[in-house]
Amino acid sequence: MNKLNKMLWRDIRKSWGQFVAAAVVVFVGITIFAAIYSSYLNLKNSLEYYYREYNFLDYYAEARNITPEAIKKIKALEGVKEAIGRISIDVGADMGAEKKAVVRLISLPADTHPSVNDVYLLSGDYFSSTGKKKCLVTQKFAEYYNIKKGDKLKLIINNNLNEFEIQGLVASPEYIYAIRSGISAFPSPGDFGIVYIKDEAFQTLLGYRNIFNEIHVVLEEVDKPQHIFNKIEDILKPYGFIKGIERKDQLSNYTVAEEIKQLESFAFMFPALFLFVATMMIYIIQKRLINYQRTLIGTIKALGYSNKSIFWHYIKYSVLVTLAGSLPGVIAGIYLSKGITMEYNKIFSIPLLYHRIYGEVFFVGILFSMVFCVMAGIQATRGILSIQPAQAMRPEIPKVGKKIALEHIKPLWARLSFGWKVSIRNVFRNRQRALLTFLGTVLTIMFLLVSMFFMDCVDYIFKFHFFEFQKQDYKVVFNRPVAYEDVVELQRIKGIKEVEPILEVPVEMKNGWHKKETVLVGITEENSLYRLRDEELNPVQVPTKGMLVAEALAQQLSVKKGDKLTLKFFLGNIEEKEVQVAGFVKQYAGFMCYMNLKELGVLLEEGKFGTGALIKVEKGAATSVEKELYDIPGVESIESRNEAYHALQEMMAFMYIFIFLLLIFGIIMGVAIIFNTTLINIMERRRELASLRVMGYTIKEIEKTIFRENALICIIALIPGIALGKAMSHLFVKQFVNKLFALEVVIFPRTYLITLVCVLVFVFLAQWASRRNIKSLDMIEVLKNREG
Amino acid sequence: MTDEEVFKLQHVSKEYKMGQVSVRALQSITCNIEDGEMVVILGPSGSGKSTLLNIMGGMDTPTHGQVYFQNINISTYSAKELTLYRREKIGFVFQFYNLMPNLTARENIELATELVSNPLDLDEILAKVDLKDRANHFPSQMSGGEQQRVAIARAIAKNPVVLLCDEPTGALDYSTGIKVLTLLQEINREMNKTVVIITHNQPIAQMADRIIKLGSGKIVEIIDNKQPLDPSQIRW
Ligand SMILES: Nc1ncnc2c1ncn2[C@@H]1O[C@H](COP(=O)(O)OP(=O)(O)OP(=O)(O)O)[C@@H](O)[C@H]1O
Ligand SMILES: [Mg+2]
Repeated sequence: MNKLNKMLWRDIRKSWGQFVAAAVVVFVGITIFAAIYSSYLNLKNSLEYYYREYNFLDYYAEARNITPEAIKKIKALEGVKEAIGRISIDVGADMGAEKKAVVRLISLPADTHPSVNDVYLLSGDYFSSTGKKKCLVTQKFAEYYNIKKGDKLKLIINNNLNEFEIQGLVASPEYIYAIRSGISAFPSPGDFGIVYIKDEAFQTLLGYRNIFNEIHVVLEEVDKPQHIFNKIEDILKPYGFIKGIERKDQLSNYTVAEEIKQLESFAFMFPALFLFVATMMIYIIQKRLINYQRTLIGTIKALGYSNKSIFWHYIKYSVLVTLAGSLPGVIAGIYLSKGITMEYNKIFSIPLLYHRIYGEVFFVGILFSMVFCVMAGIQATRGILSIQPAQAMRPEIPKVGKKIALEHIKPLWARLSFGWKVSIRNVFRNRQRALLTFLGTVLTIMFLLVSMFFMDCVDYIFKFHFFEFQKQDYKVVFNRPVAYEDVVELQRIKGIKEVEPILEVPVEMKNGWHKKETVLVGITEENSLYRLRDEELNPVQVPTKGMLVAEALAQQLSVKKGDKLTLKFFLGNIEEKEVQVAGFVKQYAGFMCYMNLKELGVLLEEGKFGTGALIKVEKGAATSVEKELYDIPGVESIESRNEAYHALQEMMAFMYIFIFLLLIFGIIMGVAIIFNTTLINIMERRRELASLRVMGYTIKEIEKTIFRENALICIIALIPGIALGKAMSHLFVKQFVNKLFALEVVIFPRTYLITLVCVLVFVFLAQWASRRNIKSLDMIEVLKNREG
Repeated sequence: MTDEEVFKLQHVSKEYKMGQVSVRALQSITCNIEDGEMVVILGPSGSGKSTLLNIMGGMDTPTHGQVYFQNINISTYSAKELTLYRREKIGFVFQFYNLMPNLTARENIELATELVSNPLDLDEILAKVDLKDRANHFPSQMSGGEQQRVAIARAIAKNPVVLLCDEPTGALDYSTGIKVLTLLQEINREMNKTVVIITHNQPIAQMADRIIKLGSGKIVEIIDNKQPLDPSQIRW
């Protein structure tokens, strides 16, 4: 080994604590990076592969009566590779055990798999032409209700009960994330399932005769497919065209794509925080080292070493730190990503999900860390070039001890103990050293806050949705509209405390070229089970005229209070109507609109009626009420608020694991930063500390001085740390807001408290870890050796 | 100008500017140093000794005047050329040894020898400075005199043309100092190296072939010493 390298190696060994601390921060950052980035690649590539293999749609349209000729015409269009017609309707399903749910019934051809949106068989067989009354069910849904192949599924179609035998469990690229509509706030797997039955069974059941209500299309590879979609829609006009949806707007795909997008940005955002810290650490370590070795650098220059080789000698340190952190980081991250990737199948249903090792993760990970850390090294080392060899050999002018500002505040200063005076002076006189501890602490606080705010946020929003906004125990939905009085009749069931009819109507809201599908909910003026709140969270009631619009929806439609929205109804032959926006309501997911139930009836050119009811039950009456409701034939589904909440909590376990990991990493980083600064502090002051020891100070007293300094700086760092943490949280929230979700930065007071306690614990830990260094301070050696 | 001359300085001046004030560390120094000579530069503190030595050694450049080394003008050298010049021609010895605390005695010497293509034999040098058994010790494990001997070994190991020593005995006690000076004389006599020693310690000048006396940045006097003393005969 050449001698410069040997020196470097021994420098690292001598202060390996520093080296390791900085490398650990890089390691953590790159582990997170590789874990998320590799998961991102896994998810993205598996998805593409799944879509390709199972011919996921590029476009689909709904129309009232699509004939085989129409499909033939569309298939003949240039650029269209495959087109299939199918029937799809939502029906009620009796899930047994007194549960009812809504399922989407979809037709499939017998014998041959469909050429668009093929199903993946997880168990059982595909339809043959012989079997009767057989169905395939999506696996997530079946798992939720614990139903298996061979079980019977009772579906309520056109008011008739139909039993189908489950002949297999499937997954579909169309329902990787199965939600019924974009306004389903926080769906759980039990809310909505997909049931496939044979074409012919469907035709006979509903009396359809070679008529479809959906067409699904796969395109050839074309650049700008928009004109093809336009052509399809033109063809469908005479067949009662309702709407056309592209792949990117298809609900399941949109949700998954958003998740993938978030993953990609998180893959860089979180690690960037760590690398920023590592950069600071490396910069400061290097800068200190160089100041400290000034004379040595001069001597090496005198010996005839070139600037370039000395520069490179110091840069190597940062390169080594980076490699020591990023290489194992990439490996650990890839290892972690396997678990993370597979965890996604708890929420999504991607049977072809695979984990792979990508060279890209190595490459990007190491480059990513190098760019950050080596820049820091270069920045810190640049000064070497300008060190005049002759100059370096002269001792630096010692700093004069000036009075610090605080000393002028006599009454306060006089009251401090001698130890505190020394500590405070040290902090303010050695600004650069203090700045390092300060920055480290600020970043640690920021990181702790950012990781914990996610939990607070989610907690707050769930509580808001399930406990502040909703007060009912059950929501029942009828399979057809019911007269108002008949809904109120439910009151008669024993154990029901309150019944409030609701009228839910799917609509398309239009404002100029802005368009949004949502649900207009009619509620009674004396409603107390939906507690609507305005933007300032004050309770509001639906007005007699006009409607209340979810805040986020209003933003997407860009409407103000008093504006009019055009409503297009999907049911019957009702004309488009204009309704005024009377106000906004706060909603974090499931963006809907609310108006007076009676008014809505009028708008729909009908009387007073409902499509469901909100129900509050007496204490202890839940099971009996559930059973009674279940037995009412007209009830299509019963949603229990509690069950939904708990199902959701279970699904969120995934997120909690992620946050927990982040928190662990944040803690490692916090300890590393504070440990490192404490070490530097001790290293730098070896002479001073050794002199103190010579004078007769005990190790305890010396430790106390250092601890006081660190604690002081941590307290000063608290405010900027919190401010930075909040700012960062806002940045992260931005990543989450999309068509389906609104988020807000919510940080509970307890989070601040936890942060504070953590930071103090870190100071203690760092102090404890660096004890050895204070103890092993060899007074004689330190004082004898000029170069330390 | 003869081939004998290693250094030829013509009207060398050095000014340090510090804001408004400027310090004239050297003022028009003109002198020669011949090949194989033992020269002592003598002067009180602040007289410009180190400045002069640094300029000769390519560590610093003069503000005015020319410095010729073996008839080549080095005062116009670029930083890169000066690095090469230091590497190949010069060996430095400093008052505070400036050894790498991380490297053993042997490694400190290797730090220098790795730079050049024809270094002296390491073991021979270690024997010369009488540190064979200390080769694997770190500077902190050695006394000042031993450290200075390592520093001298490091300077000479590159096989330079000149050895420039800035107060080599400044931090040493009398008997250790004498030992170091004896070693320098041996290097001068046996290895035929030009040696320049800086000191403010008058008696040391007696071992020189020539004494250059500096005062306030100027040459006060140049003395030829016909009978240089053996260091062991010097007393202070
Ligand atoms: N970098 C500098 N900036 C300003 N003045 C300087 C600088 N280097 C040297 N000087 C000044 O130049 C003059 C000569 O300094 P030099 O170090 O050469 O003296 P010296 O004879 O070696 O003294 P000593 O015996 O104390 O080492 C002194 O007045 C010194 O203050
Ligand atoms: Mg000097």
